[in-house]
Amino acid sequence: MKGRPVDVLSLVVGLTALVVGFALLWTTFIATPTALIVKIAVPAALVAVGIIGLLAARN
Amino acid sequence: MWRLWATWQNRWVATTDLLQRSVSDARVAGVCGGIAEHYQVDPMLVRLAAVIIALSSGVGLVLYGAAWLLLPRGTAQPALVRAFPKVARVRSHTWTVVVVGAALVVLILVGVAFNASLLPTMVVLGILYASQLRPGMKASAVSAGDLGRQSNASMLSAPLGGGWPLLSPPPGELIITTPAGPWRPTNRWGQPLTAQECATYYAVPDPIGLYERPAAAVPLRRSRVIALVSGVAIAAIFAMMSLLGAFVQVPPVTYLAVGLVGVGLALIVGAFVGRPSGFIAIAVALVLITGAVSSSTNSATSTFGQGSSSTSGLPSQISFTGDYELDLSQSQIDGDKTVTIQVEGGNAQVALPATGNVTVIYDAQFGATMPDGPQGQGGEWHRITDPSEPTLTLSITVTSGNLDVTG
Repeated sequence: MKGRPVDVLSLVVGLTALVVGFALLWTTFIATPTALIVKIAVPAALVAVGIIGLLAARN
Repeated sequence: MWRLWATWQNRWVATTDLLQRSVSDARVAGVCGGIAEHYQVDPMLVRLAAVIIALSSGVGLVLYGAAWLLLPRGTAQPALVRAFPKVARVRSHTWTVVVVGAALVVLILVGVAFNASLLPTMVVLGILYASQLRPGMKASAVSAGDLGRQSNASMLSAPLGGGWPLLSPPPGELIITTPAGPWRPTNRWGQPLTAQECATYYAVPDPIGLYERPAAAVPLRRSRVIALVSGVAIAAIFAMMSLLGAFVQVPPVTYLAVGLVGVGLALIVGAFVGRPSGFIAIAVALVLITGAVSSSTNSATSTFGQGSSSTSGLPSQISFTGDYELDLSQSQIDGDKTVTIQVEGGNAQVALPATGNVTVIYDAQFGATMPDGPQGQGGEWHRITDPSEPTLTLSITVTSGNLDVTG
């Protein structure tokens, strides 16, 4: 089944910008930067972005 | 009197090739469009420059008003036959390099002393400019306004890929070639349009969706969604600026963060409904600037306020953006002293003198930890060993961070 064409570059850059932006807002207004956020949550989110990009590229 | 003034202006325009307000490319009064047409530059750049000048003490508004009054209104120059600047045809990849390069140059020039008042303006302008770029316009839709972005020569000599509507012949009766076949436009009385009437008609970009095929609703939808997302991001940035005006501290990096979220949402939406490549450039630039601003804030931590042999050498007022550390563990309290410390956008860590009377008046948004354990967001802490000895009073305010006091 062929899905709707997606511009993968826009999707990946957009998700990355979203992750970085929300991480900054989170550490500014909700909690200070902790090891959990800096070393685990953000890298994990970026890995998820990469996986989403790969999946989107398969279509 | 007004008619006399208008007549004189029209005569002046007819006899000279001077600067005039644009009719076909006007947002307010056509001043910026007229300047762009006269000097053959991108009108968006002229408008951005006008906004920057307007935000700089408002002198731009006075200049715009003067130009509105003094410059004559131009004749209806059609977008279709207007020689548009070459910059509008630059490929999106080139725009990416240009925007990122410009961001880096700004970053290098401004450096660590990044002006927070300039930052939101730059973010807003970047988003606006990116939203105006059209590198992702698909070949399934093109309007008269877009045709106007092609140069005269290329428009008349070669078809615009895929059999786009062409204007032929330029003088005399006008016949439009559309996907449904040739079409002769008429006026409301059913008479053929003159060349001048057609020129006026085409000055309005695609007024009735004549050139759009049925599938052309996609770019329209994309532009609406992107405009909505951009508008929300810009509104959020201005909301933070108003908070700053209400004396609520907003760290500079949050402007970039809100811009990143807005651009990111626009890109995700655009990935499914089009290719907003202009936002890719601005997103990359924002990420680079954000990383540099964050790292420059953190790197200053270890070089500021380290130790002091006597408390009398301390300044009375300390303001710092980022993580702040003050080590007084080796210092001696040699007289009554009050120090006010203001830390924004970071954590504060203070090591008190090992001996002597100390009073700490603290206000930390994310809480404070005193030598005897965690405390609330605000309060006072005292260590009085000998009331007859001098006292060091520290008034510490931490915005968007923790306070950790040891000693």
